[in-house]
Amino acid sequence: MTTINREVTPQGDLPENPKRLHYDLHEIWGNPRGLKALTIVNHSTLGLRFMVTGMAFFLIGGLLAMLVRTQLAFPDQDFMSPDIYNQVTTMHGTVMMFLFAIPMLEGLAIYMIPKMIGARDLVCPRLTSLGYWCYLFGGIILSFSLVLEMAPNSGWFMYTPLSSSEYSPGLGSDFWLLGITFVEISALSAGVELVVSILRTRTQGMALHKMPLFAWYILAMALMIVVGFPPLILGSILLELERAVGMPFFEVAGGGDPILWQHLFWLFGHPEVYIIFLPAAGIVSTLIPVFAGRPIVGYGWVVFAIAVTGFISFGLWVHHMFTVGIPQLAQAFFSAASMLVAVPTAIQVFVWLATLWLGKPKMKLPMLWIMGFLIIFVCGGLTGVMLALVPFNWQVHDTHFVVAHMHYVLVGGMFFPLIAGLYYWLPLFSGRMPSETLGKWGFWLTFLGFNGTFLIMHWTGLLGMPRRVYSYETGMGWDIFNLLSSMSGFVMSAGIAMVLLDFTLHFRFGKPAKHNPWNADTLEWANNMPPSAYNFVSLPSVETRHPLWDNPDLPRTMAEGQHSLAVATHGRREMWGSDPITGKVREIIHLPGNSWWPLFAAMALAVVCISLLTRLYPLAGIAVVIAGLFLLRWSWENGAHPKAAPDAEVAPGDPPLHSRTMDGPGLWAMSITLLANGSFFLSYLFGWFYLWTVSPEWQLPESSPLSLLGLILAGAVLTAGTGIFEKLVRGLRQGKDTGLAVDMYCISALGFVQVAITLWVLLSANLAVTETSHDAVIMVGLAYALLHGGLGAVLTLLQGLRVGYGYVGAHAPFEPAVVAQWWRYNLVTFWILVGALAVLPRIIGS
Amino acid sequence: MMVKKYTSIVDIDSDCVFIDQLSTQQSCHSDQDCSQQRYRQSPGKNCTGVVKAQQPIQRGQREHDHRDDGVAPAGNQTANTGHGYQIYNACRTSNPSTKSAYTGQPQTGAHPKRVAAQQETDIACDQRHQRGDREVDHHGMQRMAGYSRAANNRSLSSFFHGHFLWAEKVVQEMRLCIQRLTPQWVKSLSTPLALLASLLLAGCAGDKSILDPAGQAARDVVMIWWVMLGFGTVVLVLVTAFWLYTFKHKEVARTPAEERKIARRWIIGGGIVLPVASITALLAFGVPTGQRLLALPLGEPPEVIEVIGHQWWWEVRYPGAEGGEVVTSNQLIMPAGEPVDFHVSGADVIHAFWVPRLGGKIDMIPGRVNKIRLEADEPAVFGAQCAEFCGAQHAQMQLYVEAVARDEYEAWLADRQTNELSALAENDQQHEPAREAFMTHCASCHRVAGLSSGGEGPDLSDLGSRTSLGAGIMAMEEGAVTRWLQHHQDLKPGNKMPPHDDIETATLESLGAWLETLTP
Repeated sequence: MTTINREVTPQGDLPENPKRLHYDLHEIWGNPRGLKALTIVNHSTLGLRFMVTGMAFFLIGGLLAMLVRTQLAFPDQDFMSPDIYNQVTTMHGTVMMFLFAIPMLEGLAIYMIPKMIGARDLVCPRLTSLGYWCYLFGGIILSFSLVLEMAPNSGWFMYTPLSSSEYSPGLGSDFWLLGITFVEISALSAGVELVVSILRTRTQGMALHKMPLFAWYILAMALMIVVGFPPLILGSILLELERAVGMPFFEVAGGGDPILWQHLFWLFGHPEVYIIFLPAAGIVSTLIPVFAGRPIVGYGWVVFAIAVTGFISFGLWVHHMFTVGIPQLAQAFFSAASMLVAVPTAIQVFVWLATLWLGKPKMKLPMLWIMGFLIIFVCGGLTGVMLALVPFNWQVHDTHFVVAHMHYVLVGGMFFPLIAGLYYWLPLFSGRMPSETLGKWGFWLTFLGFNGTFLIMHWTGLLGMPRRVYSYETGMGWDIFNLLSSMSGFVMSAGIAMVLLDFTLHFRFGKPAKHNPWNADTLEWANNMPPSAYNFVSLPSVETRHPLWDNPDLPRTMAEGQHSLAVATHGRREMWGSDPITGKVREIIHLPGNSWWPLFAAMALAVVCISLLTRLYPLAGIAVVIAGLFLLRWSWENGAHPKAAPDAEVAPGDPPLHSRTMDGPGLWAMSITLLANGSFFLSYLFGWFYLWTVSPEWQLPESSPLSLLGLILAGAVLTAGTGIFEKLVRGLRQGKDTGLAVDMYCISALGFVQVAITLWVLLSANLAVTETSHDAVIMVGLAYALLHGGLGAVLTLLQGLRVGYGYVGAHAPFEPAVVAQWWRYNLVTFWILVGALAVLPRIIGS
Repeated sequence: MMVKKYTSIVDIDSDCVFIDQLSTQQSCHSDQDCSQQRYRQSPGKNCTGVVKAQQPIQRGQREHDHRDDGVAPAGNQTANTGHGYQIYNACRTSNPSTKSAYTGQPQTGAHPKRVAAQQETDIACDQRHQRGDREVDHHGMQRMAGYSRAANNRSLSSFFHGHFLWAEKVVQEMRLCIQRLTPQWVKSLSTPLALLASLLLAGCAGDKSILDPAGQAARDVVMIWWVMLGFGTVVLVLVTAFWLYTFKHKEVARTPAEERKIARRWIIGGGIVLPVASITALLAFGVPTGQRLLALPLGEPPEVIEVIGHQWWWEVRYPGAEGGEVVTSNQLIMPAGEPVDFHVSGADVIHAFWVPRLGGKIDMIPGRVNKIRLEADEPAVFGAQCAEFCGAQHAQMQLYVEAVARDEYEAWLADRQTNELSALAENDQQHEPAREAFMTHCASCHRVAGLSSGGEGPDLSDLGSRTSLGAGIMAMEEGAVTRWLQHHQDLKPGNKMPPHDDIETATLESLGAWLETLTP
């Protein structure tokens, strides 16, 4: 089911010319078959692959959950040994969070977003493909640990020291740290391109305030991924370094602190909850107006609520750590902030309610699931507010009450809307309708089974049953409740099985759906069902939030090619690049076609991951270089490259190609990537200052081991390089490119000089990285600077070469503007590093 | 009666809950009798001791018993009552053969029967009944332990049940709503819903139950919980009801201006006013409660007890004991009726210290000392368990906590002064070989005052006086130590003590016999 047959379905009533157009567009955009299907970069195909893979991991996670419930059904069971049980619970959480919830929702967003905003694909199609392969390979590596009975067993949040090499000597924690980091590449790449696509590729006239609400939700989710995931990536890298090399970041004796891991984990972990919830709420906000038959009330309120949720969610992480012994004032702050997040959530709930109140709602199958969502999620939200109250939290923290709360929020807040959304969009995926009967059975079994399992579990927690116990003794009053939870758990799985059966069967046996079966208002329903690879023959101009309600004829006129960009003769994959706010068209974005490079790069990264796991470090080094070469090779096929857009001709009246301007979406992609990078860097600084001020055994050496002179020299070289680069870009903006190649080579040389000096500083510092966390943290900081300096130098060198090939120059000035951002970022972070690592200790330490 | 078999107290209590719930309205008298009789009986010390000791070995059998009860819930009333009597007899005669009846926890069978047999209208009546039972129950339990419970506790318990009554109504309302909307077959599920609601009404007791507080801090939290539950239920029901109503209500023609007005009312009223008001109330109510658990300075400095978590046992130290620090393991004796500061830490990984009936938990983190202040109203025994996941045997890291009167507490400490314990360890010549074996095999990891100072494993100086072995894995009784020494890796797989396959059984037996004599 991963690839759907995307043959063009010529529509009988179309005149000859539009039919031709379909064939021509299909020629350019259509998916190859056979082995070449691995090269596909199309967002519809990859979105479906994400979702199907996500469902497969969901089944694995669900199976693990059933094992847990079997073990806990009766007291003193030894169905699983303690170690296996701990592996199973750890992997249940990990698989559900990292391999199901996030990729599933990303898949849905990847599939839907371009269709909803009137684009033909995401803005970095090859990145979609890389993301998918990283997800698939990482997921397989991680799940394989279960088969080897070596799965991580320290809980899905991997608290150290339990997850350290001393207390978890096997490979389990390594599987987790490396596998999850690998999978996160996929989350980040999807995050970056969803942000850029939503901001820069909306169809003509779709101003921000006319965007479907779903796009707002996904925009917030993607930004939160970009900012929220890097702390965990940093934490995972540090913990893996501690495990593999012995750098004591989290070890008290070496000056580290295990609580730092908790901060880094929850800095990611709490936004993560909203990363999962927001897209699901986006589904709710999409479905409710459709089934209420009226526009949503309070569009502005919803956008406000989304933004506020996004911001507040980064200020809540400590509420997972109330029992750690955080200062009282901090607890009060985080307690209040945690409760405040109820406000934007309540706003959304009442917007939905008011929309239904003022409309004429119909209880169709997707609405049934929305109904289930409402009850369960409100319930989970209420227990969430309770948990934010510190004294109550101290009692129920780490009991089954929290397990119940968390499942109410995640299953209620993510799974129910997801199924609602899938039922809603199934006709679009397949052109067929699902079965009402199976669907209703599925819903009621799931709903009742879910509440049977988890409502009772609140009570078990209040009776004092802690989380993550592999067994319990009789006589605590827990037995009957556990048995009921287990039985209901199996009822729930029966319900879910029925839903999945319905999904599967409908592809073959479902009744053919009529066009736009729910009478929806958004552009995705202007597609063919199932959609063509290029989505739309022509891209419409959008005036309101409800294009299909305002003009029900729009799908037909779009398919007939009566709107923009209905040209295929140039052989390029094209769509609009528009203004991020007003949606006015600024340029034509040309997209790369199918490519092997993402797959190859992901395979090389998988080799890196596996060789780090098996401690074959030389192999890992080689694989890193190979992965880098693949990625650079991929970046070579851009701009004026023969495989991209060697010919810059456009139809009369159309704007220029993006690679011929200084304004392409790549600028945005680089900015958003640097935003993620900046979040990583800030997390690093947080770690440095945290250890410095809080860690119990931290020691600042008498004098800083770093040569300040050397660092200042390196910084001066870097500043010079960046300055020259800025001048070059200004020149290009004015159409001047004389001596461009030579200048690029010079700047690149300056970059290498800076790297060499920094390396000398590092080597001459004689850091005892396995003995003190102070030295270990410095090591990581300088490695960061080296990596960024080196990469900047290499990219600039390649720019010089590209000038020579004629791919870059005054006629195609775009790429240097992108690379210049990297230099700017590197400059800022380098000086901050010098200040934090070398200057500040000299001032304060003495 | 210094160290009571806390398990027996609680077990009998839960059994009696079961008997009470079985009784129909007519049999009130017999309930009363039951508890009276119970009261007359002294808690069968041996009875549960034996049961506990056999637990790990007879695992398979116990599971089997449970399944019987679970799978055939209809287990008719007479049969179950029979069970009840058996239990009762078991306690009286200390007959180990009735163990299966005891562990069976016939509640499983009893509840469905009761609900299925009654009409909905009877539920309220039955609850009143239950409440009465419960109070009797508390009495029984407390008197058995030799103490009576404060009066305010009883009124609190009736307060909870008042809420239950109300919660039950809410469940019925919800059921009606759902019934209106759903096809016929779904309605047949309403009985299980009623069943579920009444199950929630089943006992809140259990020696780890948050809902059965034994100290002011825990009591405050429970109070907050019931209020939050009540309020939360109202919000949930109202939102759901409005939501469902929108599918039924008649369409009204409105102008866009009217629509905007209505929408704004909903959004501002429900989306802003409601949560902000609730949060303010909650914080005003909740923040002062939290203060109680903080180790703020007091006029008279409170007793300090240090608790250190190890994989997977507890080290307990009394730095303030008169005559010098007292150290013990896997048991925590504290003075009742006064605040006690616990200074907690972790020796290896992160653990968490939690005595649910006394108040909130606090993490035990390597390299840090966290403080929490708890107070037990009265002398009693409490269950405690590590609450932060700490590895393979996290589930089997139990702590026996007992609050005793001040003078008993001091006597207990005095008995454990190093010189007292050393004398204990060195007396009786017949144990000389055991002492030698101890010095060879155990001394590097275990401390026995006067003989060794190992700190890797639990301190064994007063082992014989403890209620259980292996941090709660088995009850202490004759021969238990030997069995533990022989089978500890089966009883608690993965624990850090190496297997003793290389040591002769006779040596282990002599070691066990000697260690059991270490009873101050």
